[in-house]
Amino acid sequence: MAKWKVDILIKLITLLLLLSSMTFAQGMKEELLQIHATLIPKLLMMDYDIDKKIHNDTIKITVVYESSAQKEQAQHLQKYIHAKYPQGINNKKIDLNFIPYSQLKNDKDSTLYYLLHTSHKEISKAVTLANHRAIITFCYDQEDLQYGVMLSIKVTNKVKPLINVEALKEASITLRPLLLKVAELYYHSTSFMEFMIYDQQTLYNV
Amino acid sequence: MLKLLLLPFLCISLIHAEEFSLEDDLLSSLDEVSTIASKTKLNIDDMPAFVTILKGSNLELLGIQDLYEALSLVPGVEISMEGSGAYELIFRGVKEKGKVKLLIDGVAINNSYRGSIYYYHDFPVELIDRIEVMRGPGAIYYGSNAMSGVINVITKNAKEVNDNRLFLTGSSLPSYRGGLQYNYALGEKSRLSLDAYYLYSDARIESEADRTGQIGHSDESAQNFSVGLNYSSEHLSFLARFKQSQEGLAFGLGNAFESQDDQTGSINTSVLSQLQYNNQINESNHYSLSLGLNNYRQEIETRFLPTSSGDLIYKNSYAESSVFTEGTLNSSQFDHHSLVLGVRYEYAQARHNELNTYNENTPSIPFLPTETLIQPDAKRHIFSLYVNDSIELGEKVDVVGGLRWDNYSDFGHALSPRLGIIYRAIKEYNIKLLYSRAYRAPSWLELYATIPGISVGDPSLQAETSDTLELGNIYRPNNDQTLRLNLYVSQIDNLIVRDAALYQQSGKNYYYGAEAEWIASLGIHDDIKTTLSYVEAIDNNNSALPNIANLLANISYIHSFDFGIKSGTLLKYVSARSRAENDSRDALEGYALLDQSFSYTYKAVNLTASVKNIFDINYAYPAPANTYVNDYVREGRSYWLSGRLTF
Repeated sequence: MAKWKVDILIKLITLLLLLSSMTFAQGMKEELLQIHATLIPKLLMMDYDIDKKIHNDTIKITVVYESSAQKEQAQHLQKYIHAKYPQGINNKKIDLNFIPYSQLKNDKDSTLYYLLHTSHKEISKAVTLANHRAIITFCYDQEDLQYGVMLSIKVTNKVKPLINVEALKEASITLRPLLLKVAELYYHSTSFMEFMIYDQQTLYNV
Repeated sequence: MLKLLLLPFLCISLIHAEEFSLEDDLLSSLDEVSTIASKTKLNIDDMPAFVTILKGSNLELLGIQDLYEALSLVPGVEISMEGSGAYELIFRGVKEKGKVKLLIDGVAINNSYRGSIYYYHDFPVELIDRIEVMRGPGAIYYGSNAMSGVINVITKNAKEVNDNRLFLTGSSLPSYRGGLQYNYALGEKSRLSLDAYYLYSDARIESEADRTGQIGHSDESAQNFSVGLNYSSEHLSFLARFKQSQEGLAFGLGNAFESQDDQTGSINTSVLSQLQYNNQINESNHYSLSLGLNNYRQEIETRFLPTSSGDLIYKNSYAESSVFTEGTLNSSQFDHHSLVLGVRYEYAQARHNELNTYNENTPSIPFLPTETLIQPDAKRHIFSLYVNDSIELGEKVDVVGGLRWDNYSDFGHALSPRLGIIYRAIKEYNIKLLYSRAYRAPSWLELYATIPGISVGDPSLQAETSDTLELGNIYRPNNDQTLRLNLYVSQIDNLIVRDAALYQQSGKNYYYGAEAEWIASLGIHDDIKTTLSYVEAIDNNNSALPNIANLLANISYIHSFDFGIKSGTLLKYVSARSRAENDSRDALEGYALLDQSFSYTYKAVNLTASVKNIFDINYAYPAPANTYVNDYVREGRSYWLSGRLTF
């Protein structure tokens, strides 16, 4: 192979290795969106007070995004929800709404905020707003549970809901016992003593 | 009064009925999504296998055109070719020769005649939702031929939700390809999907002298098409696919060019079909029943070899059919166990088998003393039983064990055990250790070939077997990055080789290697994937096996601009390939190819323009000694344009 071609190839490889040191952000997996689309309406039904969060017989899922590229990728969620629940769930329609983080304060009547990954500051602001409005929060990236989001999904050899116990407690949300049995409970706190405080009784009465 | 007394009980039972159904509903959904995760291989790093998933949408952005070009992106997989133009896959240093199983939407296409799969090489990327490639043995679920790899092509027909599509592609080779994929909802839970494509190619690559000293062009012309149908409802599904590949014989069946005026070739026709019923006995036990019918036909006509007294003509015609039925039970009845039990029966029979060889000047006198390729009425009954159990030993450890028993009426039986452990050391790091045994049943050509001096079978041949040990390390620091490093060692025993025209069992080969993959999203706009693999393949005399690249590498990079344009860059490297002992030529030089694509999407229309082999690198696939001195030369720079309409 000609030397100059080898030089170009070496430069390309070096560039790619340099790129590897950049900070990363998220591409979304369509299969994961399909799983979220299947589970979210069912998880919502596990909230004892869900009827108070549904307006005009419509479950409004608001997808909160940072960039237009995120919004474009999250369209698959809408596609899968409409395919899975064409008639809605439990006689309630399901609507999806897309809103950027910057406009979230103008949102009304949402049942759930589906939070796409962004800075922890934006996530925390969205969580605070949601708690104030008694809106359930769900994050695409389970890492965002640490910022107070209530629900996510974990995929290993099995699929399990992830429940942020502290976040639910803070928002005074009560879930049906079965969900707590099948889910993995997320604790942000690393203190063993604080963990011990969340006994069985406390869990079922969050 | 009684009614009033009963009323609270009625209310309570109604409330509990609602709770019961909500809870049941959630549990059923959790099972459903676990199945989605397994089916789409989303949780592949937690499963006892080494699998690469290639997504159709990303392949299009990289300018990848068809199945075999896509497979070149899999770590440890090298593409090569025989003189006849039949593409060959080399998985971890193991030349395919029936050792890789190909499935289309879960239905195997390998035939009993030769186990061949090459005629699916041109399956277009526009019809592919994803390709699941398992490296290493997969006999536990797939039986014979799943020795060094399993490829499952999931078409868009099989996907539950997808858009309709029309596509058209042209290239400077020249080649043209067009097709469509259409979905029709028949009811709330049933749908029908159809796809079809047609490929025309007149690609001819200039080459140096063949074994007779003649200079010419390889004939890589093609007129291929396929039609697929997929029906699915809640419990029942049916799929069928017809595929025909009519192709030129490239560098010739006998490694000699055909005359330009009288180009012939091969026609491979395949029909596969499967009816499947899925249901559950209860929440913990799901079963499926399948019934399938496959047909394969091959016709070859070629000027096999020019001689001083006239060209030798070779014509063959072969057809086989097989019917199979399979039942599987998936059970999570026992806590922490995921059990799979299966039983399968298959019957295969050669229906037509004819060989005609003659000198063009004396057509009534055959030059080979046989009129059949293999003994007539070859047939085979295959009965299989398999069991596999995945056991959760706590949150961090899964253990998997399985066993398959296959009984063939024509050569005997094969046992394929599997044992593995998956350890989730920390959230970001998994380790897998797997041992598997797999086998390849001797093909009918190897058992029953009847061409004295060229190809003579041995009915006493036994199956080739492989034993493979694999260690996998998976590091996922966050959702945006995955780093995988796999090590493996494999031994293939009871190798079947053709020596002095006789098929016979001969010794062992050994394969050692490593595969590394790094997959990352560098921001919302950038996806990068890098693979690197190394293999040492040696025979039982410790000599390196020829015509295999030790080192393979790929880098693919997709960048999304804000105004609907995406860029796909692909760099592929294949190292030098050593020669056979009787070949005095220097090692075949390695090569690196750079492809670049740009894709623009506006509403429902997508246009993709690609340049392949930008630097017009000269490269070749290895040819045997004393045939093509400069090997099987490949195409230089080529230009491609695709238009796709989604509706």
